[in-house]
Amino acid sequence: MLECKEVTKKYGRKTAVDHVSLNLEPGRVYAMLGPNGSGKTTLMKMVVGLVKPTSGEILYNGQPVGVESRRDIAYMSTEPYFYSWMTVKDVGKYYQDFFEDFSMERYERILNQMDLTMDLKSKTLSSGMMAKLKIAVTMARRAKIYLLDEPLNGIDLLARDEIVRCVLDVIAPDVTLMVSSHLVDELEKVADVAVFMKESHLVMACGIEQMREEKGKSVVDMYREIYGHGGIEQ
Amino acid sequence: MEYNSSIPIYLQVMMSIKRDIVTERLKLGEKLPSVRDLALQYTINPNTANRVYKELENEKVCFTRRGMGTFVTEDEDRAMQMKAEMAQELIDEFLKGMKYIGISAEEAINLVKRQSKEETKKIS
Amino acid sequence: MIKLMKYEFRKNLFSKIILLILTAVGEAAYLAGVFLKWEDGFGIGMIVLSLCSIFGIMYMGMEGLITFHRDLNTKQSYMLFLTPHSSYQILGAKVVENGLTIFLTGIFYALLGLLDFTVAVLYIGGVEQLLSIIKDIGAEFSINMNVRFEEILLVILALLAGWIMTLAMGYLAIVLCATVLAGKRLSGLISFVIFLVLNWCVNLAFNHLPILDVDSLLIRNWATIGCAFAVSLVLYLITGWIMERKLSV
Repeated sequence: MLECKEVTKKYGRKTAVDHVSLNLEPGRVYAMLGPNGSGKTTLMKMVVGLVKPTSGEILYNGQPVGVESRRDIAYMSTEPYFYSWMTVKDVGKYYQDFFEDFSMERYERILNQMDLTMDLKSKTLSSGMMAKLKIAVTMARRAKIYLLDEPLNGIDLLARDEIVRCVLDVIAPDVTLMVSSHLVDELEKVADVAVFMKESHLVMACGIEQMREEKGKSVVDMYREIYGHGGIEQ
Repeated sequence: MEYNSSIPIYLQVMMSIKRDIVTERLKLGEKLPSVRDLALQYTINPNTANRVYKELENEKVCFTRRGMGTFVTEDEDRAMQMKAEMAQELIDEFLKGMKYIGISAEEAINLVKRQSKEETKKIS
Repeated sequence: MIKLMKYEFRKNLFSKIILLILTAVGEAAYLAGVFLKWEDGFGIGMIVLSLCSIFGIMYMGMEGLITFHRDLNTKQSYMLFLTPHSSYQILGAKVVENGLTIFLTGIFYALLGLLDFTVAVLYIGGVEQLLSIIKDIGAEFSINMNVRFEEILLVILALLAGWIMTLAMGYLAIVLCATVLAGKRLSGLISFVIFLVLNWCVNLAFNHLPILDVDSLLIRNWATIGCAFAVSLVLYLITGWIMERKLSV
């Protein structure tokens, strides 16, 4: 289980994440929603340790996140980050070297489904192919926590189905997924809980089916309510 | 499958499965996909898929055999009942919709009869 | 950590290959000069080889810092910091790989130099001359050998210690820049300035160390080397600590 306790991140005078408290339970898929700059990415980076919080703490199974938690946490950033001299194969080997839960076989299978070959150089990949590579290498791990930042960005329609399938494939009772996306309706079917972030605050976190049953509202409806004009004021 | 935004997804998937049973795309006693496969098929969360089967089982539309999977009910009467239930729902919707635009139930029935005669004429 | 080092090596492979090619060219010219009595080749070869060795070793040292700066200030940092390694391990791998590279490069050029020298003596001077040279050297060495050897060793170690300390300051400067002055535009320049300041401060401190007032050259040298390593270790620990606590990439 992942616990975020009053997590705050400030860059000088700007606040990226403001006293966010959120518990992520295993077996659930959390849809992180909100416009750019609302703090979703920064929050994810803090969970994986790339960014250090200004205050507050993040605990994984009771321990502060750090070296050990990174064994179990797989993060996919929005930006490309592989070394420019690497080929698709090199990227796989790198992950295999550092992550015990990485499966080269799964990697090859996912790459195949996305029409990527091992010999392609990271330098020459188009943005769409890079997006697919990032997903492939992340989902080829059998992690306990997946943090996917805009996994469907820049991916064509057919490949999107593939990725959604990949995501569904890893869902298990002991696995937690945190997925952020602008494609709210795509995410809605697959997620259990919708987490809305606005201007560095956590506005709301609620069960998706629950929202439909109790309020007759879909996530898309809530999204419009919260972020649209006449939405919830902070 | 396109999902209606205000009704819970699990209900919509349940409807879809019931429709398949009533139209015999799913035969009585046939094995249903595993929870995971159902999730993949409908691109939904496995927890939701789980709920679908749980609710269907509660309604005696399907049953689970430990270690073997989930199967469509073998009870023909239940299938008939389902068809009747679905028909009832469709009728309710129809009448509600007609009432909304100001057409009484009687008028609606006449319209249906007339429409049906037109259809038969077209075929013959 | 060996895996980290493997990738550090791979990151800097390109320049090593270039250096190797340049050395090969120089070596070819030199050997052509020796075997074909081509004087220009001999001269050019020697110059190229000397330059390669001096600048090569210097660049090998610097490259570690350049790579580190790039690793901290571009998104490629994710590659390192997403792995289940502490900042100490990541930094340690870099430092060790860097040190080994410098050391091995030094040995490589030393051996190459020795080989070239032997070849020249053998080929140009002829076998009899070589034998007489060896006899002379042997006579010299058997008297002065021990002292000479230790002196050479001390000099090498002192150079190494100083170099390592300078590198350690470099790493710290880069980390300070990436944490305290995160993302500011002139980060490279500021890093360099911090580095120079650190250098100046540490050297000042060194010159005032009490142990340097001892008479024995031996003790002074060993003390200096010891202190340099100690300072490097402290700098490494500080750098690692800052990375672990304060670094956001």
